[in-house]
Amino acid sequence: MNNKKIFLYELFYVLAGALIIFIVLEVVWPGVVLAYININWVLILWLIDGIFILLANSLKTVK
Amino acid sequence: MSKIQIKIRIFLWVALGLVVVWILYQGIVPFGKKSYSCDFSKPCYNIKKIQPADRVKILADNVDIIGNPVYFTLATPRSFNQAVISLKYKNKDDLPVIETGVLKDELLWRYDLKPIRNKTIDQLALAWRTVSGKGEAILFQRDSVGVESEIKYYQSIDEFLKELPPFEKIAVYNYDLNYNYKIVDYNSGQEKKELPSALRGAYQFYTYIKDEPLDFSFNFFDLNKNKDADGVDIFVYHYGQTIENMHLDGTSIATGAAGDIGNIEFNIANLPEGVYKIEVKASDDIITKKIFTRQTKIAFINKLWLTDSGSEKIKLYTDSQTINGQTINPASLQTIKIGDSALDIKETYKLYTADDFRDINELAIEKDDIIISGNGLFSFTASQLFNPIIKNVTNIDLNYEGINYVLANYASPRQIDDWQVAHATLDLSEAYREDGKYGFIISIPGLRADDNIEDKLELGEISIELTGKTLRQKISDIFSKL
Repeated sequence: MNNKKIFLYELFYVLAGALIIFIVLEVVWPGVVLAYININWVLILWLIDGIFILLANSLKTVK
Repeated sequence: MSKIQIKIRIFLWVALGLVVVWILYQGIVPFGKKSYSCDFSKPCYNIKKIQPADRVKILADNVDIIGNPVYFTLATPRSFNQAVISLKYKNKDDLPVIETGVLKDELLWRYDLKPIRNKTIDQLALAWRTVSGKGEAILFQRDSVGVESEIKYYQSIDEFLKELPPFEKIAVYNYDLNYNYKIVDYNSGQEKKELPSALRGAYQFYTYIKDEPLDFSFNFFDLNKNKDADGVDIFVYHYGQTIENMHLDGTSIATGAAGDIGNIEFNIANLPEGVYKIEVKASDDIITKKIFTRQTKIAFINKLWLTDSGSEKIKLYTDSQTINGQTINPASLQTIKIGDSALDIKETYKLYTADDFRDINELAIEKDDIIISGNGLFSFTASQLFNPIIKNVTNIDLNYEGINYVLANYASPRQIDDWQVAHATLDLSEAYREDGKYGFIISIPGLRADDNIEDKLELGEISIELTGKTLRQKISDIFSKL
C-alpha cells in the first residue's frame, strides 16, 4: 500500500471518529460544535475520502 | 503496520484531539470572557437574524431597521453575568431615541432597556451646565440665563444626591434615583372599595399608604384558553425591594375547563409611609374579576387590559403623553374620547396611537375588552391618580414641565468615519435564557414600518462582549454548596 493510500485510509478513520465525536457533543451540548464547525462539510469530506478509497481499490482490481 | 502509517495515524488523531479541546475551551469559556460580533456580510451563528422580517431590510453589508421594535437572539454556550453591546449605525434620519436591552421576563415580555442614542441628552450637553460623576453618570443643570427663578447649582453629583431639589424639578434618564416621595395632604381610606372594571393578564400599579395597612383582595378566574398551567404571582415592592410575594395555582390543565381559581388577600400592617408597587404576574388567560382595597391612590403602570365583562362607559384618567388602544374583540371596536380628541379603534389586533397629550386627560371608553397602554399612569378616578415616579426625559417637554435638573447615565455615540458607535452595558444575571439563547431588543420609538415614510436606521455591526464566572469560580461555587 503506498503512502497516499495509507493517508486516505487513516483520514477516513479519523473523519469517522470526528463525526461521531461532534454529533455526540452536539447532542449533549447543543451549539458547541456548530458555532465553529459545519458538520456537513466534515461529512462531505468523509464521503469524498471514502469514494477515493473505493476508486483506488477498483483501479487496482482492474489492473 | 508500517512506521509511516503509525506517524500519519498519530498526527491525524492528535489534530482531531486538539480540535475537540479547542471546541470545549470555546464552550466552557474558562476565563469567563467571550466576544461575538456580526457585520451582516454573512450569516452569523451566535448573533441570530434580526426580526420581525417586516421591520427590517436585509442588505448585502448591513441591515436597515424600518420599524420598531426589532429583536435578535444571542446563542451562548453557557450563561454570563454581563454584556456590553456595541451598535455601529448610521442615523441619517436623526431618530431621537435608540435603545437596546435584554429580555428579563418572558411572561411579561419585559426588557431592561439601556441608551444607545438620546437626542435630548445630546442637546442638553451643549446647552445646559454639566457635572460628571462616577462612570457615565452626568448631571445637567439648566442655565439660569432667561429664567426667572434662581437655580441652585451643584458642584458634584454627590452634593446633588444629598440635597435633592423639589421632585417636580428633576428628570432622569437611565438613572435609578431613589426619591422619598410624599403626598402632603394625603387622606387614608376608611373602607374597602371595589375597582370598577375587571382586568385581564398581567399588570402593575403604584399605591400609597400612610398610617394604614396595605390592604388588598384579588379574585382570579382562569379562562384556560391556552392549556398551560396558569398560575398567578403577586409581588409587593417598596423602593425596589420585594417585601411580600404570594402565589395561586391555575385550574387543572387536564380538564382544560375555565373556572374560578380563588383569592389572594393581604393586609400588611406597620409599613412606613410611602409608595408601594404591586405587580400581578399572570398570563393573558387570567382575569382579575374583582379588586377590593382600602387604599385611595392606585395608578396602573403603562398598561391595563379592561376585560370583557359587559362593562360600558368606563372612565380612565392618565398623565400619559402617548395613548395606545387595541382590541382583539370585534364587538369592542369604538372611538375613545381623550379629552377633546378621539382615538378610533377601527380594526381588531391593530394598535392605534394618539400622542402629544399634556397634563391629565380623561379617557371615555364606550365598551370594555380593550387594551389601553401608554408611557404614563392610568387610574379609574381622578383622585386615585398620582405619579410617584421621577419624570423620564424621553416622555416630557423639559421647558413645559419646568425641569431644571436632569440626572442621567449616558455616553454619547462616537463618530467613526461615516458610522456612529455606541455601547450599552446590560446585566445578564437575571436575564431570561432559553435553549442557550438570550433575547435582545433594539427599540427606536417613533419608527414605524407602515407609515409610508422612508425613515430607517442603518445597522452596520453588532458586537457583544460577555463577562461571567471563570471556571475556577464555578468549581469553587460547586464545592461551597456541598
